[in-house]
Amino acid sequence: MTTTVLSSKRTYQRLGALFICSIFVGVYIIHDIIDLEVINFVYTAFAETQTTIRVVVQLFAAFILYYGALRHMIYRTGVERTMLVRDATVLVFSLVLAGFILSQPGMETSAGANVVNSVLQGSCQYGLFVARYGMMYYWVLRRFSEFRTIDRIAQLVIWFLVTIRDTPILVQYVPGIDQAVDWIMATLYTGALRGVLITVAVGSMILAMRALIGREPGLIEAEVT
Amino acid sequence: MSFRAGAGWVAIFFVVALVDVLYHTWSALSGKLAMELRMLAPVESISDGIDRCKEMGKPLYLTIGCYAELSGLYAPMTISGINIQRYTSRLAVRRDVDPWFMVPMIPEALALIDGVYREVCVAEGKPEAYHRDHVQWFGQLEAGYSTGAAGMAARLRAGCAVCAGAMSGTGDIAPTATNRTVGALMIGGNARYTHQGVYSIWYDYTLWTSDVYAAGAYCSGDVLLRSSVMAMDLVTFACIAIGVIALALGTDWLVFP
Repeated sequence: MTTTVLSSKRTYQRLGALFICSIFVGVYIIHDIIDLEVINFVYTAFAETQTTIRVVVQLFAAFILYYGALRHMIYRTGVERTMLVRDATVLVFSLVLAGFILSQPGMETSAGANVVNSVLQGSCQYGLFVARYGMMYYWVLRRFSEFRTIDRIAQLVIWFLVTIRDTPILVQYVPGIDQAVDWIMATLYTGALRGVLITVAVGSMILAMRALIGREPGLIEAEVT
Repeated sequence: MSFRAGAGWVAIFFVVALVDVLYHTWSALSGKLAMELRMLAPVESISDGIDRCKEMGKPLYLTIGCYAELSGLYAPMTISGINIQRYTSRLAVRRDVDPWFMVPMIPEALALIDGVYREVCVAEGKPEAYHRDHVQWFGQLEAGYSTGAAGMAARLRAGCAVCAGAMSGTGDIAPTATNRTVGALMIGGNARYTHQGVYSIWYDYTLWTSDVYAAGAYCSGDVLLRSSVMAMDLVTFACIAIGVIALALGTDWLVFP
């Protein structure tokens, strides 16, 4: 009995999904190769079905989000104060925004809704932009400074110079930095890179010639000795 | 009925990849090829990270990345991330460490992550270890995920953060930086070439590019997934070879639909 239940569950949970998925994959592959009316029709139908499923999933996720926040507000037990403040903010802002958008003629397409959306999104993105790059530069500096070797210090200095060079506002305040970094990249870096390549090429030729005249041990001999 | 322009190349590539995957699948099922993958240091460190949480009495922070979509470029990263997350959360539940799941901005991932969490708790014989509140979703905007997950990271002060999958170079930076700032042991990585530099700064143990797929296959314990990693390597080498030939001969002859 248990085996039957388990196997039927397995069929339902794994093989069923795999079967449906395989049909989708098959249709998509054929559609990429052959221009056939029936396949084109099925392809379009699948795409539309996918959109419908996506909308349902989005609604489910949104419901879970609001339900979780509401549940915290009602029961409160075992929930940290900061989480409660966050959940309350989410609920209040959502209600206010929904009320505002519903009150506008044209609702989410209205000019008012667009302005609110742009202001909220813009401020949020700008705040994140500042926080993101602030954190990134802080950690780059901190991680590099944890190393005490010459090559790490050189890496840090070059990273710092390249960052300044790639930031237009800083280039304005540090005149000549862009030319200096370009020179480092075009001359020092490229020179070093070509030097390494030439050395490797010459070394490979010498090794090859030594191998041809039997002066170079094979891999097995090298490992044994 | 007619063939689309460039369909021949798609068909050839598809058949070659199909033969490659079928051969490795058959080899895995018949036991003809050893499907052992080299143990990666970040995978080994997951267990240590959970022990660290246990010793410090701190929770575990988990994410599969802000861009964890179930289609397109990110889908394989998402699946690998889910496998790593399943392995990690299973160890955490076994050792009585609280896992917290940050759901990416993709709503489909919410049901997937929640299902894995439930399965893990039941599989470990601890259904009471499941807490609905430990699966956090912050809406469909990248900014929502970024601020929400960063806030959670600051609040949780996790002992370890396992962040592997479809990590982004924008939305995931603030949460990852916050985790580092609060002293979490950082394990993770992403398969996109563009962000390798970013995440080498953040992580103590980094999964580089396709390491994410190998780690996912290893964590799943499924020989079929391991065989797919081997098959994938061959396709990767084939793509590099085609790219080199196309560079040498020009790309006029290489037309895709």
